[in-house]
Amino acid sequence: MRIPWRILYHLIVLPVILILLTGIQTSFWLQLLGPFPTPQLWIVVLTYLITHRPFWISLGMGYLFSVILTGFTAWPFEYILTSAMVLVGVSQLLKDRIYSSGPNYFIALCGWNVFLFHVCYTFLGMLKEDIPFARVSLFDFILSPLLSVLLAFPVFSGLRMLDRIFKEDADLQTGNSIT
Amino acid sequence: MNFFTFDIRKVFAGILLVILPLLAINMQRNSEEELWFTRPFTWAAGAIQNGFHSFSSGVRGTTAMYLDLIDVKVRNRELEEDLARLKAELGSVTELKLENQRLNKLLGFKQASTHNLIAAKIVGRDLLPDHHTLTIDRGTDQGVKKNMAVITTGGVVGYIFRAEPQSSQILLLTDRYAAIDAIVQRSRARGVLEGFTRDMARLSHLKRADDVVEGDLVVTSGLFRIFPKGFPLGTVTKVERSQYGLSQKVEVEPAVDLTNLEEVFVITETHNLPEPEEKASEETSDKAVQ
Repeated sequence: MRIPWRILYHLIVLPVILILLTGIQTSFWLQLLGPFPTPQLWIVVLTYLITHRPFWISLGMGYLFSVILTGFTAWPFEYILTSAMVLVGVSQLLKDRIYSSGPNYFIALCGWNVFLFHVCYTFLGMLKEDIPFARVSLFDFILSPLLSVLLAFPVFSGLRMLDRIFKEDADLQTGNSIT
Repeated sequence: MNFFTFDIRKVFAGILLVILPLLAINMQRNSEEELWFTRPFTWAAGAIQNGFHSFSSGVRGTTAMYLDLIDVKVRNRELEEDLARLKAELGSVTELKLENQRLNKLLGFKQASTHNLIAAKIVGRDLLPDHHTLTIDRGTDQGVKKNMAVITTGGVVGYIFRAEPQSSQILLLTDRYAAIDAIVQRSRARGVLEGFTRDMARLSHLKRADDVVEGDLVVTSGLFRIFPKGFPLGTVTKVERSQYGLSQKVEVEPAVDLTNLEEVFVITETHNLPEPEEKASEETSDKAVQ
């Protein structure tokens, strides 16, 4: 029987990577730096999938990641899903117009996506939630995208290496995607 | 182009990207209900945070041990001197302890704690900066349940909002989803303490005439049988009464520094909650005031 590596990679390996990176963000970072703002490593992984996979795979992974991330936060699932879909949709629009498979493009998109997530998160919190939040932390708003950008390259290298191991040819997966 | 010609894949993409998420956030689901399909991942989140905590504690322990070895000789001499001094003091301390026990017995003090507590270590925090939750290394296997109170020696920390077999998540009193029934200790004015920012909460549902001033201690009311009565929540730092409003805005600084917690206690059973009769009489007096 032929092992469906591609399915195993996307449904098991990548979710495990996501859980490990989110564990680093929510636990290891806390032990190391206390209440200092954290990078949003899950967005870095999602951005990698958006830039290196066809639209339908990144959309499906956006749904899967939203389910996984619910365990790490008090924010309800539907809000995480909405934010993830905003990231997938907006990044896809950008990717269809400007695209490069190199790390610089990816790192810039990571920074933009973390910033967009904070905007989306603030907007949803203020408009839709039963208990809107009172103050936006500018410190988090600025530092979180910067830290994510700093850590984007190691994550990119790691994911590229995994792609090679699982024979996921990144450059062939790009291009216009919905159709 | 024909108006009715459309690409079914684009329609499907639109449904998944826009319509489904928008429907989901408009469904008015109770945010405290946990979705069945997220449960395995909640368990995984707790397990991975426990793992990372053990790893980082191990690394910190080893590093500290190595650093300690450097000046261990000097410290050893100091400790030997201390030991000799403490041995000399021990005799008098034992005498005082015995006297203290005798006096306590005479006064009829209860030696046993009125609460059953479980000590827990903080192993993780929330994924998002605006939500103030913490993960602890104790779960349902150790007797932790949803809505149990979490305290430290300084005061209230929050309550359990999600419990898994080996880990649980605490909603801190500063989280905007948190609401704790509270009273002002001096004037007995009752309100609800709601989370506001990382280091501040608000006492809401107070009447304009309620007597609250800066520096007042806010404590738990003991209602809803979650928190023991009279446990410190925080201190009033600001009181604002608008000229025509019916209520007042009261800001409260938590009694505990919630940003630097390492260990907490979960109250699994408490014995000083108000009795149902007391609760009923409190409610009646409330209605009478209104």
